[in-house]
Amino acid sequence: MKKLFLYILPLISLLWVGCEEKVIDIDPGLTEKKPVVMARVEADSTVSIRLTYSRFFLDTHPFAEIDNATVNLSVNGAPTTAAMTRLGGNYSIAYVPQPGDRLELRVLVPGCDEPITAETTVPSSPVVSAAQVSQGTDNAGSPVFNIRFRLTDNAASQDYYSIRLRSIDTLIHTHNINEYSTVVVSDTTPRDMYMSFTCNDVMLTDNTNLSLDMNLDGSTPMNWLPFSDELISGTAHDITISIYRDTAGTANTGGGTAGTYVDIYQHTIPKLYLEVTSYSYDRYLYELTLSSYDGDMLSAMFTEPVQIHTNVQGGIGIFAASSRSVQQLQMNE
Amino acid sequence: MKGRLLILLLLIAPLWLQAQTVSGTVTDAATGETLMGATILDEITGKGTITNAYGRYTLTLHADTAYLRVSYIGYKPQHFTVSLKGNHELNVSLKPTVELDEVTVTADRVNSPRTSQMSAVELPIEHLKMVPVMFGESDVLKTLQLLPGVQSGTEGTSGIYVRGGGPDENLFLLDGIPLYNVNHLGGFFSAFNSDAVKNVTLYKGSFPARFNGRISSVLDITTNNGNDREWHGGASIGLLAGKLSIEGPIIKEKTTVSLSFRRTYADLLMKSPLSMAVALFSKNNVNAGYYFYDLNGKVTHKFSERSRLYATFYSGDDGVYLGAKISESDYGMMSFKTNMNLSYTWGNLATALRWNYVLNPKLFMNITGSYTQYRNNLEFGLDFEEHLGDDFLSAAMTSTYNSGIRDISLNADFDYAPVPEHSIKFGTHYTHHIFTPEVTGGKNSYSSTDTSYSHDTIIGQSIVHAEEISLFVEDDWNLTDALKVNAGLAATGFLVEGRFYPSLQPRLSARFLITEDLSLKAGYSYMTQYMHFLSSSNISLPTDLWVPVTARIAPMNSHQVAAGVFYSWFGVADFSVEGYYKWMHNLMEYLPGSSFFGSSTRWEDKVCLGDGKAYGIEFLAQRTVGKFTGWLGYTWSRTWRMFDMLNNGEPFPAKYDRIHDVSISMQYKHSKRFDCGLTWVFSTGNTATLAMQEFETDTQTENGIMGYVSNAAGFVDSRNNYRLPNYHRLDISANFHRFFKRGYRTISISIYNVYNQQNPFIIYKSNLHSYTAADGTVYGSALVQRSLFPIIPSIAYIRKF
Repeated sequence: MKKLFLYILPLISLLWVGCEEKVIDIDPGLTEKKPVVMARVEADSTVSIRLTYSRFFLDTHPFAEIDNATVNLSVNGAPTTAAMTRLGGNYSIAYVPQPGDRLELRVLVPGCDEPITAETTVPSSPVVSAAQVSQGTDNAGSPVFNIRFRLTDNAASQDYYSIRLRSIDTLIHTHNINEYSTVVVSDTTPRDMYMSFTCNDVMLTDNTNLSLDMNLDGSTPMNWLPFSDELISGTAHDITISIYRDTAGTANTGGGTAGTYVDIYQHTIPKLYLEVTSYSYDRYLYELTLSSYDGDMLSAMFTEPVQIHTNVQGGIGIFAASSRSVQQLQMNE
Repeated sequence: MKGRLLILLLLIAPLWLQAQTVSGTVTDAATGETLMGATILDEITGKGTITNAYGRYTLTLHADTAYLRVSYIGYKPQHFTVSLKGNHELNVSLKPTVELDEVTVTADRVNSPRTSQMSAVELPIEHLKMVPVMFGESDVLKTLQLLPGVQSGTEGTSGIYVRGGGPDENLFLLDGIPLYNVNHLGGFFSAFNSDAVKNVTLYKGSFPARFNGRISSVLDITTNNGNDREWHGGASIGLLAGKLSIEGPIIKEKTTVSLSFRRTYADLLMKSPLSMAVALFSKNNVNAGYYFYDLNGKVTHKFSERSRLYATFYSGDDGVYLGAKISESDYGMMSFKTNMNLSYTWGNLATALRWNYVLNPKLFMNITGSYTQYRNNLEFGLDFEEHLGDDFLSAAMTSTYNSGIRDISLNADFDYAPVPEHSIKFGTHYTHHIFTPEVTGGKNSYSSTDTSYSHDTIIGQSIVHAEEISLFVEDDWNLTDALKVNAGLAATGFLVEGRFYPSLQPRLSARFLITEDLSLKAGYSYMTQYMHFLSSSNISLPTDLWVPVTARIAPMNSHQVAAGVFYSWFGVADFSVEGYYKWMHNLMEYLPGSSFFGSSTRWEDKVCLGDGKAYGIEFLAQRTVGKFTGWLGYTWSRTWRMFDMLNNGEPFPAKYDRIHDVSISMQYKHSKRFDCGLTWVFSTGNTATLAMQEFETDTQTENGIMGYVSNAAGFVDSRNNYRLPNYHRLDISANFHRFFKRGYRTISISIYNVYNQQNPFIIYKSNLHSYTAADGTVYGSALVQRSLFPIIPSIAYIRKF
């Protein structure tokens, strides 16, 4: 046994010393920054474009803005004469795109030999029936709100959508700060609300008919779930979304205690907004890949890599359009 | 039409009527072990054949007399004059060569210039035992990785990637039984104990029609039958594992048994140090460890020279266990205790009953019934106990996760040699698959002084049954003295969830003999695979599992063409150059962002299907005879994948796309008492997907470590866009033998990675280092690599008796 230890100890030492970290030399070509175009073009809104430079992944400096670019927008093949304003790397063009418009972007950045180009076509607005809200109970007898609406897909085209529910209304509620005292918080600032809802729709669950829990998102669009019309092409499809009273999640209540559970029955949620959005194909791929992206180094070791979709020639980024249908829903009638 | 058939029959009939058959079995004279691949050659007509997997041969000749030469590598050839007045039974026992200090071990019988088979290699077990190894454990798969066209995965692992295929596209047959898990210790060891192995043949292309079910390779491993004359055994101790083997006659020259057992003892050695270490910091008890074992058993009974029965058994498991007393408090009247147990085991169980029967001298039959299973069991338990005076309360919770696959098979194979020009194999294989992708169970129990209850839950019990059937026929046909063709056809079908997937798979290989030692060969094969392995590309996880094709997930298939030149230089050295091109369809990859963890219930949502192509050229030069043997192999190859859902639909290189791959394996047998070996490998680095640039998004994304949120996202211009540094390594070994009256002992010393090359195992961004770019810019972090195996010396002691 003594001899065995005499053998094992040097071996462990060798492993320790021999497996040290080693810095990898990187091809200089990979460190060069690239121009980035970021423009989610919305129908019926002016066109906003943000221009920045990318940075080498070891660089921790803020992204540099491109504030000296020449930006040209063409609509259906003709240069637009709409006024353009610029603030830092943010460019705003006073043109309001309409469904069916074909937009072409051409950006000249000093120092770049080639122009940066991108194009998109504004999709038609989604055809959505008036949503109906009802209260009911689930299989376990718990109360739920059911939001039901009909999405009619165009058979002649391949379409892409997303559905979003949000509440940006005044939130006034009571909640427990701790187990000994109750404090009434009057909060008149729009706040993020996160609540679980379930949608058994085949489009959202990719034909598996299983429940999918998502966040009911107040402001950030991180949890949108874009989907294609592959399964409903050319049909009128009814969608039901259920919001569960008992699964109301954490809310940043503004009272100093983020992460407190809130029961949506105990305070007022007068309105929710149902947004159904049509995407162009590039926009669909961008939203889909962005929602899959996880830059966390630890979890990335156990997930497949994600290429965030880009449709910008000569650079990185997205220039892609969408059209939105928005309805206001009263929840507690 | 009928008239033409009659004329044809009349023309052929005389040939059949005049043909006489010599048949029999070739065995080792010392042990009675049947010899697979022995050559039987009629030196008068030049016609010949080789023995099948059971040592059986059939040679049909148009002659009155045959002068037969029976030979096998490492054995003295024997000559026989046979009068062919009728069918003749000739059983041959060959004696091993006595010049033990010379070896002829690397001869490649299945791929010689004379055979019609190409893209196949036979790995002699003698060679396997001389190749330098890691931790003193000779390994079939790691030795195969040294051959052209066969690549390894991550360093140190035994997964094989054959001609651009994935690790799940290889059919591993142990005595004809498929094995679904061929790795131990996360892939650092293969499941094949070299002590139990008799023959190893790898088919990389030009697949014979009798092999089906995988699209990239077939590894056919035969185990020892056992000595039918006397008892022998052996024991060995390596750095990580020990082995025991025994073989001998239960009834002399009738019934033999062969048993081999291997187990790691790292967990046993580390048990005490681990417990001591934990005891230093707390009062808690911890019992943790990892082990693997495999047990090979085989019983052979010879009813007569015409009838033999084989019973094969294999069991191999890996296990991780952790038992801990989390807390214990005793305050006299009141006491608490909490225990936790974790157990994770996975492995194979395989067994087969095989009956060989010689129906007549021209027709050999092999009937096999087999059962094989791969299982994956995870169990976690937590229990709590509280005593307060006479009152008590206890609660326990157990969670289980099980997955696996079970196959029940029945095969009938026939060898038929009606005329000298034809050697026909035909048969049918049927398999009933039972897939258990995921069964999760939970059990809760509670008891106290007044009450008790327990609750069992089983969810996700989604067992899928599937039937797979194949019919095949292949003919090794001597068209002329120069031209030989192996033509075959396999008809397969897979029935799952009411859906039937049929497949007709033609196979063809041809040899044109330019001279006695020089030939050209070409081949084509079409293969279909009806199951996929859901696994991460880097590491083994409990969620890795086999799944069948479904209505959404179609079967994989591949077309492969290959051509090559084969030359044997005076029987001393062989040279070959082979080129291949392979198209693969319905390959499966995880979708971007899919996590390898989590439920498998919706696995179809996490994957996408696409195509692949692979092409390359392989050079092999090997010296087969003499004190100094070995080979030099070089492969130039590319492997691409094309998926609509990945890389914007553009082709991208596969993870293990290695453009250059060189391997040198040399052995020198100095004397009966000493031999040594050297292996050097070089390959282009693996590919990886790295975001070398970051860009600002208008959305916050998780970034950095532990969910830090920012508006930066990595930009990946192309999947697998980064090429890791090249890989190279030198291993050496020396074996010192000492012979006794009964048996011998060997001390084997080997050094893995002699010059301590820091080959990358994992790369990541580290804030502990800085990086100075070529333009002088200094960054506060760096891209770093960590290696897994530095220089590793090891020693093994082997005793045979």
